[in-house]
Amino acid sequence: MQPPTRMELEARLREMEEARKLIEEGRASRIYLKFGGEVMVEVDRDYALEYIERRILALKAAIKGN
Amino acid sequence: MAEEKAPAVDRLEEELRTLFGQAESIRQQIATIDATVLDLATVLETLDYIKQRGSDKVVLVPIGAGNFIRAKVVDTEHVIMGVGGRLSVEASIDDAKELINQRIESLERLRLDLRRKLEEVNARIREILEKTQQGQQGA
Repeated sequence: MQPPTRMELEARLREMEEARKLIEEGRASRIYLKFGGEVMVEVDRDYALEYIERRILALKAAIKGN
Repeated sequence: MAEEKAPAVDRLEEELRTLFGQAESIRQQIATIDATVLDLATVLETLDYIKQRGSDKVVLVPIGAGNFIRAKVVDTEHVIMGVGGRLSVEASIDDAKELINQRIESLERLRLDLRRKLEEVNARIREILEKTQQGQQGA
């Protein structure tokens, strides 16, 4: 599998920032996170925002190193 | 004399190879964007249909390998949308449509930038090809 291009990483970063905005604005009535396999588990807002922050940091680091 | 020109010709050929690679990569990115925009347009159409006429409708749910089970739509106001990574959120159909439209607009802007870039690369390719042809005719 090929590593993601800079354009793909930037698109993922934009997606995560949009997701954060959506949750912070209270427009998501429920939030789900995919765990093992295809199972999606409902998570609370704080957990989802923490997950998003971790993803954003990781994506920014990957873009910087790309 | 011909030997003196060789390094310049080599440089042009090298640049040409790089430009062909860049053009191919840009074309692939544009094709990916086209497919995504088409996919999102289908989602918009589906959301419109579900909201307007989906109540109690029977839908076919894929269970893998081309097999389906029949199911009924029980909620025509909300959709669970993937928002990147492993995250999905339940949003109203109106909010989801707004977000999808924003995503389409952003992809269309990106596609326009890529087309401009592709045009620049193609122009440089033409310029180099003309130069090399002139060089061959002059030799």
